[in-house]
Amino acid sequence: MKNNTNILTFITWGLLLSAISILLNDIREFDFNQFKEFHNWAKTANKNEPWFTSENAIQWGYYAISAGLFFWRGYLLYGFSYFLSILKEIENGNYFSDKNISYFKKIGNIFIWYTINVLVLRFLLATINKSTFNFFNELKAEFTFLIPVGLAFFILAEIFKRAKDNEEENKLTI
Amino acid sequence: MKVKKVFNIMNVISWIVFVGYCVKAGAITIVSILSLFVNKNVTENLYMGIDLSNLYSFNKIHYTFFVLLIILIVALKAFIFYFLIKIFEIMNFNKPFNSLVEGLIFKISYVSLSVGLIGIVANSYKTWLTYKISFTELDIDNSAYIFMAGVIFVVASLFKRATEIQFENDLTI
Repeated sequence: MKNNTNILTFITWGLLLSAISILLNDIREFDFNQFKEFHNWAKTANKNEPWFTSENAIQWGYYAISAGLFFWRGYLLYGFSYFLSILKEIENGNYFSDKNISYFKKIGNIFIWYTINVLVLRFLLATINKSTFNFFNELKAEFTFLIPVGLAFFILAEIFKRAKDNEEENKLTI
Repeated sequence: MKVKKVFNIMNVISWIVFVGYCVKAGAITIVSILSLFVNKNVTENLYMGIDLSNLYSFNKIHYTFFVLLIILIVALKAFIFYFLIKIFEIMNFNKPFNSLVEGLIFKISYVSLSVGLIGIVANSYKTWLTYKISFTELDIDNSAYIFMAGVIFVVASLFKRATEIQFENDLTI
């Protein structure tokens, strides 16, 4: 068990670090390419127009949604980091601790909230860009993986609660 | 009560995803057989826009091998959800720990690992092929499944421990 947790801790760290580096790179690219475009647009924009023109609102909306998407990706990575805490608990021999149960619940929550929010943000982004949004295709990509996994973690949390009760009962009997 | 609801939702989702993967695997299998023996034009739309006509024209053996890899990955994914459905069928929520469920969870972890490894092979093969010819962009990177296999394996090991505790408890009573 200990060897397995060590291997998994190593894999989780690798995955987390690579995902964080990809996210940071995406944020850097976003700043360089998109923000420059926005700056150019701001220079040439008609200054007599009121601030809250539709074009302005659309541009800011675009940035707000992009920032939101980055935030949720970061939030998902934060969720992944709970795996490290679970593995640490297991390594310490606390298989069915309260902490582990709450970590499983948190991971489930984060996965589901990530999927729902990213779907909504992508829909808004598609509306702003006036591009097509295939709800079924977008949903399929996330739905087949993250939502079932999120729900599975909810169930696992509950099952481990039972395991904890059994363990306590067992200790009392001894 | 809330968990029971989540349990039921998971069961329904598992069925939907399982049927979806079965349909996908079946459709690709039938269309690829048709493309090899009946009409090669069907390679232009193997399944939902997957165009492998260039690969077919380039080399039939590469085409067959590549399609087999895709079918294998989809079929294994369907298997994962089949095991999940089985778990929902067997599991008694009041006494969740038993060796049958434990075995199924271990099986899910092995199949997930296979999906991840075959996905890596298929992805490398696709990259190698795209140096020679161009064909539809296919997303077959399943490295997340390797990570999931590890997580499920740890969960299965915990489940094994819980089963032992439950068995010990039952004996004591």
